[in-house]
Amino acid sequence: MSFSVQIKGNTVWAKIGGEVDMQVAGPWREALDQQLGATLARNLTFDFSGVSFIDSSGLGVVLGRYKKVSSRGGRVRIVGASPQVYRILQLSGFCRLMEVDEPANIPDRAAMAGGRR
Amino acid sequence: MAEVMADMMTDTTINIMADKVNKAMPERGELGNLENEVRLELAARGENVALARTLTAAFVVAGWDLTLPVLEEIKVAVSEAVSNAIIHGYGEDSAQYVHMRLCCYQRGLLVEISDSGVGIADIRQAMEPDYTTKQEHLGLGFAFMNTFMDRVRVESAPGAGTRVELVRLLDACECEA
Repeated sequence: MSFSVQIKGNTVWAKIGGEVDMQVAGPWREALDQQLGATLARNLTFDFSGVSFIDSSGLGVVLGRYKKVSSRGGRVRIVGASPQVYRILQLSGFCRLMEVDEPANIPDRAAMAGGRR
Repeated sequence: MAEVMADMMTDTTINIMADKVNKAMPERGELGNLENEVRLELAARGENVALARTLTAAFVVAGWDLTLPVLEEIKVAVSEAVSNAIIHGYGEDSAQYVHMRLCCYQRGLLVEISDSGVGIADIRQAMEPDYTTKQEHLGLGFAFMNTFMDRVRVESAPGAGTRVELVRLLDACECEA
């Protein structure tokens, strides 16, 4: 797991990679809040291109930052989500709450039925 | 917070009706014969959440030929249950242990995750999608378990720990060679 924060113009770019669960949620939240508190940039973009897994602990960090940034009039966007991660974002309502870029290949529901080896 | 969550929760897929709390467990025999079983004890540490879901995925892949999205759903459900045990059951006390049982049945997977932590006074309330006892937590753990698994059963009492049973029915493959 690795994360980085960069300021590009009026946007904070938060990149995170690996599996975003309770183990990384705390340190990631602290790093983000430190950067968000120290900058005048209004918008926040999450770069999820390196995220292989996310659960509700990771989503909690995103939602908390969304509330902070949007209450100051900023926009929050998530880019680079894999089809699997995108699906979790959809199911948790994030796609309606913030701007989430659609992945190129969304898995076909019909192809998802399980089979016995 | 309540407003944001209420808005989020209108998403149809994750709307949990009160009567879906404790989704009925399979009728006796629904899962068929038990074919393989693994029992694990994991120290209640954050890094073991990844281990728990990865081991589950390995166990599942050994028994079934599944697509990536199905595997991902099972991993998320297990991740939520184990995180709950560590964070809520044990208050992140790493001297405690989370117990896991993985069962491969003829017609599905059963994962049991249990702790001997503080327990839950009101299971119905705990399973409400926006209910959480901790700041910065979404209250989505049980919602994800319910969405991604076919059966979710929770047994708990204050001081008596919590036992979560997750079942995912997996059809016999029709295209078996």
